[in-house]
Amino acid sequence: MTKLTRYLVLLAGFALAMLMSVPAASASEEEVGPHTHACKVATDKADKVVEKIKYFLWKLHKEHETKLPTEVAAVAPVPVPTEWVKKDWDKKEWTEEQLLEVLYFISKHEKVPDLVKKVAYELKDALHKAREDRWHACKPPAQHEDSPAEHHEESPAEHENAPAADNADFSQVNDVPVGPVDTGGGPA
Amino acid sequence: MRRLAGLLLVAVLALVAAGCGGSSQPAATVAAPAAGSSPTQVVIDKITASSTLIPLRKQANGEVETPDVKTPMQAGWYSLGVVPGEPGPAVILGHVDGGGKPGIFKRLNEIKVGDLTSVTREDGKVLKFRAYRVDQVSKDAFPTAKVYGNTAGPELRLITCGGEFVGGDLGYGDNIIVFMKLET
Repeated sequence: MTKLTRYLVLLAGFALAMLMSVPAASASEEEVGPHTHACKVATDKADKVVEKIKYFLWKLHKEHETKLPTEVAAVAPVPVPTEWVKKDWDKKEWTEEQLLEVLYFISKHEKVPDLVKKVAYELKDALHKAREDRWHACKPPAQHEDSPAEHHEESPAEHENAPAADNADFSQVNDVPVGPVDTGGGPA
Repeated sequence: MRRLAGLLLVAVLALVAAGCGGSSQPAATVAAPAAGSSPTQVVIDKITASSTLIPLRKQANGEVETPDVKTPMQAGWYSLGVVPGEPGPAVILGHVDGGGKPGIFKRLNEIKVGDLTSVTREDGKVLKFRAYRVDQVSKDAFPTAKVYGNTAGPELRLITCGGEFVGGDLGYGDNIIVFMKLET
């Protein structure tokens, strides 16, 4: 075997080793996507949570006269009680964001009974988690690999109004805080 | 000798290739702010707002600190984040009100796309940021990724409360967020 042959063999062995060391797509990556079983399961689960929330709101409406202070209804961020009064409450196309908003409002309002607050808070969390699971299960696999090059291909107009995607990288910030910002002591 | 050189070449190639294709790269680290580059003042002429800046960190519950509500005219900079003028989203917070008085960002909701904000740093640099987006969002749907996610260049976020005041733990129902980019 000549020296050249030995080097070639070594190089081939090295290349093979490198190929074997490249991680294959993980199971979770292979199982995500809009048409996968995991996506369907996650979607069904989120839909069930939404139904639970609608039922909770309906029950709350039924008991509204005695259990929910009218002040809450008066300042709710969405027209909760008037909508609940409708017979076809369950046909209404509530968006998930609206449901989250209503639940958050109920869970934080000082005049809402503690038990109602607690249930609202738990349902809100359940929907948050279900939405997150669904997002992970249903997002196209390509979203894992949002390369810088792809960002550069955005038109300037698009970029102007798109600060960062929901799956943004946070590596520029040392320690990302959670939750909203509490910057108001109340009006004078 | 030539044989030794050849083996060394193979070893070097192996090391180089391993660096390109490895799957266990360390997480990106963020450099600490350069000494003397912390922001000291924010000025927004459009809403007649001017304040020195105090450094803010995180509370025990993970939420960002805010300036003392009893001194609502004091703004603060999230110091575990990005230094204004460096690549990434620097964040400045101010109260809408507090202690029965208006806050430094009482009129932040009047900011429109195109309006300017000046930030002065310890090193004497005065940076101008221009608004490209203004959002009012429910606190329940706070867009963490849009606020703190990586950006292509130096950006600034001005944040305060807005919407209805409902009291309790919630306070105001919304946050107002101004997204700005460094003027070049």
